[in-house]
Amino acid sequence: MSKVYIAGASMTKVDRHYDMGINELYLETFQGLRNTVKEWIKPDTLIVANTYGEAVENSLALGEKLASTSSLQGIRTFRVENGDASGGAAIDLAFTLVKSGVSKTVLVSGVEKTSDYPSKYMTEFYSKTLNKYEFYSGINPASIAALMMNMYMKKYGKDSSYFAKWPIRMHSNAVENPYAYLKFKIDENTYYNSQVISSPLRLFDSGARADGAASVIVTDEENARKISDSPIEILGVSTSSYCYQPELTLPAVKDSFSNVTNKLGGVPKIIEIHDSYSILAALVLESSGLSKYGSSLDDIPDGVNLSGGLKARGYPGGATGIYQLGEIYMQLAGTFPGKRETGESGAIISTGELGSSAYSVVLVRK
Amino acid sequence: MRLTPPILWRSKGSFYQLVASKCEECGKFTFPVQSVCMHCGSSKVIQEKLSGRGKVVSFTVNYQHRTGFEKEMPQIIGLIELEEGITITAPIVEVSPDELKEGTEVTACLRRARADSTNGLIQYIFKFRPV
Ligand SMILES: [Zn+2]
Repeated sequence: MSKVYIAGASMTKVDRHYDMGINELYLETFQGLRNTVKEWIKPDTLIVANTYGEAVENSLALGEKLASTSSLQGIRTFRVENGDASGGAAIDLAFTLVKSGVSKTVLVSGVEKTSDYPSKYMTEFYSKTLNKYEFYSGINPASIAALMMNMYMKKYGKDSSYFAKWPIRMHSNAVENPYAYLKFKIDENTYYNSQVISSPLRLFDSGARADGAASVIVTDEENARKISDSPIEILGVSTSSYCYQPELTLPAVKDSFSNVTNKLGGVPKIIEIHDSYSILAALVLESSGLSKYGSSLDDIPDGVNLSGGLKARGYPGGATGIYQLGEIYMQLAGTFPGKRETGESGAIISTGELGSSAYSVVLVRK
Repeated sequence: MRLTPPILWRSKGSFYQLVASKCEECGKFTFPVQSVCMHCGSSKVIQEKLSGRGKVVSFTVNYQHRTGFEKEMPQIIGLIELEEGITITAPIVEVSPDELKEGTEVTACLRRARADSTNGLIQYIFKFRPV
């Protein structure tokens, strides 16, 4: 079994890129990678993480199309879709292919376009991850998050000011990240002046959906040394999935994160989590064991979401997990251009919008 | 096109009648109805029509609309615990948010969901209203 490394990462700023489609966003990160590596080795596999391609660009077969676009002829291609956890699923597949020796070098690219259409049209698509009854009765994921928020406030005796702490921290982190979508600070007033999406959940409780692309090279030890002077090892990936239940623990996060951190024998301090809503940030922090139940947002650990998270770096759907992986790689390689922490290990928790699927990944600098 | 007759026809148990599957091994309900128990994996399940009576555990007033649901805004979405012990997320109608409280008793009722403007098909679904 080969050891698995990340040998390069490239990302676009998360933004409303009206001048770029899926192709152009992907190609920007493809060029970015070629410009930063020591030696360019043609990948034998391309995995594209994308959730809404058919909804926004009437485009299917993105694996094949983006391989052709970047002149990667004759290679193995996939498009991976598992809701907004598509990024984590793509990483899991890339890791497994290299670990098993089936692939030597995999290009994993997340790409998403969500800003071309009015929000009611996109909300329709985001709601397709719900069960059949919920979808056809007109419910959207924000309302389910709002119900979780209500349950949380009741159980732990919190009010909405507790949740304001999350976006305040995320916006403060994003100010230093050149790839972030919302690079401005906010305070409690900004939070309370933002519109109510589904009571008590506000706009500033929600990840900021926008366009973006990120690409990462996942490779074996031999090629990693050729491509980079400072490759970072992927120690493990653990995945878990459960049907959504209206409860305040996310079993998929709990299982996958404890499995992967057991391999490390400790818990990394630098970590990117999927904060689709402030309440989901709290539930991920608590279910993973990074924080205590009922008080995670009172004392948010320092190394969490240095990028600004989905709230302020932005939420490019299925590409999100690839951003997270690129950010942790850059943190450990010492090249992240935003807020930094030093550490020998890092992790990501990539989940769907409501946390029912989770992909936990641990990276180490050796 | 969003709606087709076959989709609605084969979903009639879940959309119109509140039918769930009840597991003969573990006794738990799965909704929407399906042939395998979601909790224990047993295929010894029977279909059972739920009473439709329950109480509101929690609710939210939603302002973020989806295509075709514009006229329903704002929309009340409740977490409802049914008599049979199963909890579902569903729209609550015929009540204003100020009148609704946790613990309010509700009952299922069939209501219009939305229409497909391309083929004229109208979709109905059960929602809940206070008793
Ligand atoms: Zn069962």
